[in-house]
Amino acid sequence: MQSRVEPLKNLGYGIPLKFYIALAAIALVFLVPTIITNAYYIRIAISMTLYIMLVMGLRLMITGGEFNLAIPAFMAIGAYTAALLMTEKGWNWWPCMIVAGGMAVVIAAIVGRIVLRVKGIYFAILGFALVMIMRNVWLTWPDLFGGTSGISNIPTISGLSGSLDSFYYLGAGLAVFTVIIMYLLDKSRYGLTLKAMGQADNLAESVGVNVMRYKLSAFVVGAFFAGIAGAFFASMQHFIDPEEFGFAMVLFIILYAVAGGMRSFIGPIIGVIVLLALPVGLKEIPGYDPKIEPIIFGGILVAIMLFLSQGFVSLPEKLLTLYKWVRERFRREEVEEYAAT
Amino acid sequence: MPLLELRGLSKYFGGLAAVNEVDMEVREGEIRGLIGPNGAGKSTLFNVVTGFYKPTQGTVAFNGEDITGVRPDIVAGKGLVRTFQATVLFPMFTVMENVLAGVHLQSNVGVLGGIFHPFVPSVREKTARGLRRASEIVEFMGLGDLRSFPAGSLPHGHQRILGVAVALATEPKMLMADEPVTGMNAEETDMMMRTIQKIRDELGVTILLVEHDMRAVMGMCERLTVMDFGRKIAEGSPKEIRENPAVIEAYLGAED
Repeated sequence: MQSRVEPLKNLGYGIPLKFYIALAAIALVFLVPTIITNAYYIRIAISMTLYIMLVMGLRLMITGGEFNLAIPAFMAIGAYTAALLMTEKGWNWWPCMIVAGGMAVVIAAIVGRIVLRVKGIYFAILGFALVMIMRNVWLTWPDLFGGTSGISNIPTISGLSGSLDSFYYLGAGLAVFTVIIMYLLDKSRYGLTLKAMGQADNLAESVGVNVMRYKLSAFVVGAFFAGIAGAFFASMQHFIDPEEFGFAMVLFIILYAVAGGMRSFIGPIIGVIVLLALPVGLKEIPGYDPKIEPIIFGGILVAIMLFLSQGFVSLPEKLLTLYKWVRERFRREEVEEYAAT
Repeated sequence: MPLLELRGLSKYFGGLAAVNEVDMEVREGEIRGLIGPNGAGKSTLFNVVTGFYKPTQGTVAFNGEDITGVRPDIVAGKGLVRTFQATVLFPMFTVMENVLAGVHLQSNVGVLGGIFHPFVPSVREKTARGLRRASEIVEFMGLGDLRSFPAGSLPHGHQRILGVAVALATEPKMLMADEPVTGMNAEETDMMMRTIQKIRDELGVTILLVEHDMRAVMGMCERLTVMDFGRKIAEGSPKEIRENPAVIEAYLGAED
């Protein structure tokens, strides 16, 4: 090939060092249950794997310039599909997971064509509306979906011991799988095209990008992983109800993505880990009242908006800038003092 | 057969005819200027031809094919590509990545191609070809030294050149440049004009330039089309246009 082309930030895979760091991180992920034995912490870690699967779908569409708030709707579709197949038909979990993902994909492909006719804030609102609509769907046919009491006695996953650790391993495996697929997409021509659309959709269109097709495919990919996450969630909890996939979940996904940093690939993952670990850490403080948690979360979000617009991932860079600024300040004072003498 | 042919093209916004019954033919290999005072409907004409707006009436034919009301990405696929009046770029990409985004048409990769891209030789070859092509265009446009520079922080003149480079990356038959020299100083204008000339001479790309600054295009266009209030009021060589009373009236106002 030719020698003149340097590696690009937005296309192709980074330096090998990065690869080894990633391998080490993945190894660490699977070592968590051997390091942490507290059941409560493991539950938090399982939530992290779930939210990572969800938030990656949000981030994929953000690179394409749209805010996809419909993710919990597709998680619910996956969860209900798997739960019904397991309880009513007695299916094994593994095929259920595939069908749950497939169901989310089919519905996303149909609904996406409609909701993606609008963009920006209007699309975000429609995405949120989808979440509310799905909640109503579960409530409207109680004979089928169990209404407010949801579906209970969902069997555990076959081949798994059913212990918390075993669920963690599966969740971590699914999350790592999601992240790898998303990374491959992000660094491919597909990802480059999405990022181009996110910056100037009219220019992308004028050079031949079928903007609708790309948005729709990103929407569908996000729905697929949300559907699988839903199937996992249903079996892990042994119980689902419509309220699980509601407003709060939409809010948390946004919060994690924004706090972590939406522009970077790793940002939303860091957002999930930090913000889910935070309440655990806070509880260790003597005299801490969990009731003030929403205030703390709100405060963090405001602080990030003001000081860290690119999220947690930009913290090292910001600190470096601050350090340089302070050092410069002191040096100037020294010079001034010297000049005065 | 003309490369681009407009017949009775009209675009109404409510009751206002922004483009009114325009007939126009652009021959292959030509550098055509489309001029007119502000608000004459030049940019609307652009948007209608390239599919960003649907025409109210009339037809657009490109390369013998009817493309009236066809979506912009499909129009681009047929070889008719535009640049934008405002500086529209992918500001967070480098120069090279901008052009690479423009090469999209030649190396389109979907979701599955994206996922399996490192493992499938044909997809990898596509990407490599795209990179080579982008590299050639960056060199051709004289942006070689700036290839790793973020587009958003380039000087204005280079941003506009990059805008043309992105359009050129699609390997068009015809390039429609919307006010390519707006806001440029004399030196930058000169650079842009030379670049456009070079694109026609060396790549054989037909060019349609929109400009409201008459002097800027007089020197390089073989033929000019003049619009005012949505209508075509004159067409001819620069000399004819300069002496055309209707054009003088449109630009300077009627002498009472």
